[in-house]
Amino acid sequence: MKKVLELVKANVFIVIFVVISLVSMPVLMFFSAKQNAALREKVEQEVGEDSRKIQQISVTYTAPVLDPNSSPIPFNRPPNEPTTEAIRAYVKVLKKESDAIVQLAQEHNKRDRRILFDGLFPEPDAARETRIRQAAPAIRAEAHRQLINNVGAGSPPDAEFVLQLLQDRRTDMLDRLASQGREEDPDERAQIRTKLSEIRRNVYIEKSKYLTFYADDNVFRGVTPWEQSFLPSIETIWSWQHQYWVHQDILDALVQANTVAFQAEPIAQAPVKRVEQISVAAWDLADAAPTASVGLDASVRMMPDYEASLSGRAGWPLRANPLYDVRYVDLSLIVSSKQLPAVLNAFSTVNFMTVLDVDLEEIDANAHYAQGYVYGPGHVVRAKLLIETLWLRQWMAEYMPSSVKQTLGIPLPGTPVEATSEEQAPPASTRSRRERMQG
Amino acid sequence: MKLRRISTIEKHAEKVFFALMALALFTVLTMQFGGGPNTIKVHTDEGVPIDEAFQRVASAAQSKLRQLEQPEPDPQAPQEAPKLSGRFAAALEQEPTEIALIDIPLGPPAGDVGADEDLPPDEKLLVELAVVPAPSQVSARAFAGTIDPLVIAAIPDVLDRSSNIRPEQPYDMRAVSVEASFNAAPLIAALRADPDGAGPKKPVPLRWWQKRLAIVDVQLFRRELYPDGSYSSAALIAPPPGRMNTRAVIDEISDPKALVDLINLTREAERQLVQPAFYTMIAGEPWIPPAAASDASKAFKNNLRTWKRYLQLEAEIQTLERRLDSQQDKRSDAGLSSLGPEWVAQVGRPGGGGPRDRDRESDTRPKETKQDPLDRIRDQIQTRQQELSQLRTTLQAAGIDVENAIVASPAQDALEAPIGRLRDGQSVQVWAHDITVQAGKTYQYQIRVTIPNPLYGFSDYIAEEALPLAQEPVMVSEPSDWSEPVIVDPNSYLFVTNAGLGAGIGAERSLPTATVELFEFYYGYWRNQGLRLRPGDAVIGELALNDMRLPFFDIQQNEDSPAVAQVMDTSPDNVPVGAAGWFLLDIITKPAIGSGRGAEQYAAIFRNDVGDVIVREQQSDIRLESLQRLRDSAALGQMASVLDPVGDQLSPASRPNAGTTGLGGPGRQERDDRESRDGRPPSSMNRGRVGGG
Repeated sequence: MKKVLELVKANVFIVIFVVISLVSMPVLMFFSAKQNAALREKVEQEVGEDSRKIQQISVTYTAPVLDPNSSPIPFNRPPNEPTTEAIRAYVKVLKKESDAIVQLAQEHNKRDRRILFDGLFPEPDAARETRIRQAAPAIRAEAHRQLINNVGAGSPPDAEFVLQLLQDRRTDMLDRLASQGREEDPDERAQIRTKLSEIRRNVYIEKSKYLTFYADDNVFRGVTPWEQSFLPSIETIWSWQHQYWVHQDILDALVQANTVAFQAEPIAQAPVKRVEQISVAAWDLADAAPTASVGLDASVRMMPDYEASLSGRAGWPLRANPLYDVRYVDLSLIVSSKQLPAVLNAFSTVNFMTVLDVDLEEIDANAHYAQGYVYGPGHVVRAKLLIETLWLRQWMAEYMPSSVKQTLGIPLPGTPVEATSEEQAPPASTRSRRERMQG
Repeated sequence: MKLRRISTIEKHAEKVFFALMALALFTVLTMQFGGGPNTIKVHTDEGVPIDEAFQRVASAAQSKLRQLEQPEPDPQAPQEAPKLSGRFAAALEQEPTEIALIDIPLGPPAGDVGADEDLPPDEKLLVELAVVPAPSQVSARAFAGTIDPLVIAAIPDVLDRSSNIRPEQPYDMRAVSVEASFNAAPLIAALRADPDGAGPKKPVPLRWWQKRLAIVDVQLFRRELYPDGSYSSAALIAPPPGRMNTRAVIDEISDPKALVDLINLTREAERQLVQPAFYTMIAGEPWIPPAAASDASKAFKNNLRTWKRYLQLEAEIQTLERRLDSQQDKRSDAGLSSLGPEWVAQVGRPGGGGPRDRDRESDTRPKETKQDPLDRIRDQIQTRQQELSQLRTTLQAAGIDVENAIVASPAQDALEAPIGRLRDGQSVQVWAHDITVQAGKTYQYQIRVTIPNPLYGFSDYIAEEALPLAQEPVMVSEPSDWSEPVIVDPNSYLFVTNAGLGAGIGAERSLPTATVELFEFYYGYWRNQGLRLRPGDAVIGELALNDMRLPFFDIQQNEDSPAVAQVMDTSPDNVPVGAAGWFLLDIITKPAIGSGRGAEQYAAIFRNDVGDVIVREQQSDIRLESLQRLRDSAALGQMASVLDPVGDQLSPASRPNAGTTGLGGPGRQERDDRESRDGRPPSSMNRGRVGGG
């Protein structure tokens, strides 16, 4: 150790330089590494920032779809003019398509509707209002009579007419026997009876040949003479108007059922033999309280409500529905059991109508024949149908009186819409249609 | 003196030092060259060498830029919207499929009651037949274009039937289309109404007519308007060859089943009957339904103006880009490319010698207005590109396929609009075409529609008094009003655009001269040619087609496969034209009343082909609206190109190029020329059009 110290003392500068040389290496390397790390961090930060900014140059394109059951498929990519243009053009075409579908649906639903009470809707002509309200019951009755006439329906031959005819024929036959100096014996009585039966049968059959089906203006339940001491209100008359349109669609559908390949079938071969009853579920518009406005937006997606109806469709008063109203019809028909599908199919060809329920009952065709109804050779049944008919509010609102609009929650021009939502959900306290009809 | 012994440490100290230093050097060298590179993380990439980091970012930026500027839309973008309205309309029309197969009775037969028996009817319906209301809003429009040669190959009768079609390619033809609106609502109201209220007459039962409502024929009547204001008698025009014609079928109907068959036939091909497509055209302004013609034609011309500006901008950008390249090359040659603009300004332009005059001039301007010429060009390019982008958006919105230079029909909505349903009381737009018009004549048109007779086939149920009403299977509507007169263009037009008596005295005097602009319809458009005529000259010249290379097609027909068209030849540079039989007789001065000498007007006197003397005044001719119309057509003809023949298309909505027009452009022409020089067919030929402006 002493020697070492001596050596160090003897070569102090050399030792110092050697130490400096040796120590400087790791020290410099340490600082170099630190500097390198700082540089790396700085570059990484800068590059990372730039890279992040570049990655952020991206947008999400979402092309909408018209099918409510499909979801739009979004995709990310940098914004690009041709892509934007393609999406824009696609949306434009979809909008056009959507508008065209709405238009077609409205035209299909509206058809060639006739306003029975001209001058009353949507706002009554003050000068004519009372006169029209006075005449409304008669107009309504006449319109329904016309409806039956228009569809070529009618009743079997009048019983008194048939009785008179048969009596006349019997008298003729007896006179013919008397002129021969004879009186009717049991055989001749039986022959006369057979002949009179044939005549009766022929009269019935002949009448059936030029009828579309048996029906008269008594089949419309609720279309009865106005027996109140006051004039019907505007709301009541609107109900009559709407009910008339429903009746029109139902009868048109039954005509369609009896028309095969553009040719009308005679009752004997046609599916629908007789219409016994058409009953449109009543709307009590006059006493109903106003409903909060639900808007009139055709783009609102309606969620199905299977509590209210088998089809999932429901409207006022069961649930808020800005798109359409639902009117239910109970039908009682005598139909060919073999051709029942044709009857069920016919409803959807005329308008937005759906058969919700079918009940079949056996009938005694002979008992009907006794009243003059000839149904042909096939098996017939009584079919009780429940039909759902939809009425688009967008065109109906053009004719509706303001008070009816308020009741149904249709916004009046210039009033704000209180309740709109993307998807209309059924209210918790809805009662089913059947429940409502029952009580 | 005792020698000092050198210790071992002293003896080897430098070796140790050297060894340590060598070790340190080795460590440094190993770290420098032997170890891994200095790496960092770039976005999600680990271990990116630090010297490549910015390059990676630049590369990512370039990739992003490419995606930003990608000329094609992203493949994930929806290409074509589904035609849901058509499907919806068809679904409304369709009979539903049977919901159940219960085609067996649920019980035993009720007996023979009501079986079809031959019984004398006791009571029959007394009905009255409604009058079928007249179609309304009749509009007629003359148009012209070049018929697809494949159409002529498929329907050669067109050549025989048309009075004005060119007998060989190009099959230029003039025709008149007529449109009217038939509203079913009054007809339905009349059918539904009780004719006499409580009287004995009954309305026609709904089941007799509701499903039978259909248009089974559209009758077009024509009358000619003579120059003296009188009319010819009305004549029924047959549908053009190759288009649905039900008249023979209607004439042969002898039983209700035949009528039902006809109704089925017309239902299946409703658009072909009610709105028959005009023959496919390969050149000319697109066919537009007459009712939409006015608005659509304006929109079409606006679009063409925008297209023209688009092409002009493309050309300007190309020129500017060439200038920019050239300037950059010059600067690079002078070694100034690495210098900034401020240095260029200081040392002057390549070539030395200090600033040139132009630079000196610019030096006199305020300092802040000084701008590097390259930047100026770049600014100009950028400005034009911005405008180009806006125009592209405008053009695409207007239905112009910019990439393929095809203009969609300006009346696309009318061509694709669903046909109204008669049974719902809707209006139906009906079209009819008259290809038998003669050039230069004026016509008026009237339309009637034919519908099935609701009583036909129900004679057994109709009272005897009404039986005559059930005899005919169809009913014809009341006639519509006559359309406004439609003028069919003559074969050629001649306008005097200048005339003079000549100047000078005696032998030096020049002869009177008239400058005329001669128009002839050729390959879809009016083509014009100026002529200088002297008295005695025949009005004959040549159309200069300026190397337009309008194609002529060779039609190859095989029995087993559809005919195909291949370009056989292209049009010559010049096509002889002239007003046959016309001569310039003289030029006269027509003094203007109340004006000085300077206001003298000249009139050219011609003899026409039938020997009549025609006086045409320069001042009147150049103001004529028809001159501007023909000039517009000629200008359009310079821009437009020829579509590929595709053959006859029966339904306008189903045509791949329904109502489209091919457009040309300098850029495309250059490409075609280039490809043609390479021995390849011009690309535009593959895309569907040849030639161009």
